[in-house]
Amino acid sequence: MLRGPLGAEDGVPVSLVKVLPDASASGGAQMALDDGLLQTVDQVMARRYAWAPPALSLGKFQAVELKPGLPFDVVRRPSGGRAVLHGEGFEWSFAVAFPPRALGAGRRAGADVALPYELVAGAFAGALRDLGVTLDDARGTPYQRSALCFASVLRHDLMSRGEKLVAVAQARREGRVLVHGSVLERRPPDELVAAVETLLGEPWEGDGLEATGVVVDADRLWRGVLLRLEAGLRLLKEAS
Amino acid sequence: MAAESYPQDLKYYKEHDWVRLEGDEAVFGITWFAQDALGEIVYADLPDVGDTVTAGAPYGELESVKAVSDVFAPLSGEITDVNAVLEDEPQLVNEDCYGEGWILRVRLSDQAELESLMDAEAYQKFLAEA
Repeated sequence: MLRGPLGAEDGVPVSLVKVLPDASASGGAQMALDDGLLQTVDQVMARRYAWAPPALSLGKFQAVELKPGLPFDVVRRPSGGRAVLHGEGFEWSFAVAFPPRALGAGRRAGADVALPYELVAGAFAGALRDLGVTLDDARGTPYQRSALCFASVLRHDLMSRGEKLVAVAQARREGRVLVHGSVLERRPPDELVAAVETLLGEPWEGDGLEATGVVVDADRLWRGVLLRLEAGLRLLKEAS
Repeated sequence: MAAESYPQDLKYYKEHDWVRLEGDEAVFGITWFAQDALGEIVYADLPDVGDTVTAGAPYGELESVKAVSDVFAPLSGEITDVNAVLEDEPQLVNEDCYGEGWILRVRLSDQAELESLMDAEAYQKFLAEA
């Protein structure tokens, strides 16, 4: 599904964002990479990745009693939030990591949880709209709780026709910020959905981008996100 | 959530923590600004009584609906009490950040560190420098 890394050589004129190669790997390896970014990133970095084999990622402190025989790996994210099912063919993931002071050096910047979300979710919103997806206004939507991330709704979530399209979570450590997330392209295979429902005791919700009726090419979406992220960082830099 | 306030009887640390000095001990919590920035707090991962904390180093994590964030110790010392109520009611940090939402009580090991703290007026100026 992921056709290869996008970067300057692919017509994406990014300079503030270091675009890492796309990677398809196990959930354990993917979370180790994201955790490594959170611990060491020294310039803004972005990467896109696929999960093979499929995996269920849990929020850092999410309590789930695991059962044997699950048809997917289970891994824990360095970020918070609820469970997300990942796997090639129905979903892809991304991470954007910011070093200290990349989001401004002001007193409030270090504690500003909203800004990294706005940059990354805003980049996705703009890129999705460019590709013809009409987004719902989720800002007035009250927080909806579920053990499943794609069935939970937050202010920054990107929704279309009531479907959550992109799940975003954030972790902060010693001034570094990791924003990572998942793009749900379509409903996962029934076997995986059934296992998730049994494990968490909650009904699956989410058909992702497919439910919007718009065909969204993953490469074009990611390219649009990178361009908008670059533009957002430039605006921040000019303002500081 | 309570209205924005920074009580005069507290000291403040640059990582948006407050300190209530009580003899050779101090109570720590996070400021109104910090809890507002984090949003609704859904989990508190805190150390144990008897552990030590070091000024400027993280001692725990708070998960809000927006992020998992470190919480930093404003002063060094040994933990004498942890607000166990936060295990079940972490939202108290939002609802009453200077009262029932307190986080740790610490026996201080270095009184000289007190000089690094700000009073309420200085902290509000610090916030205004954004």
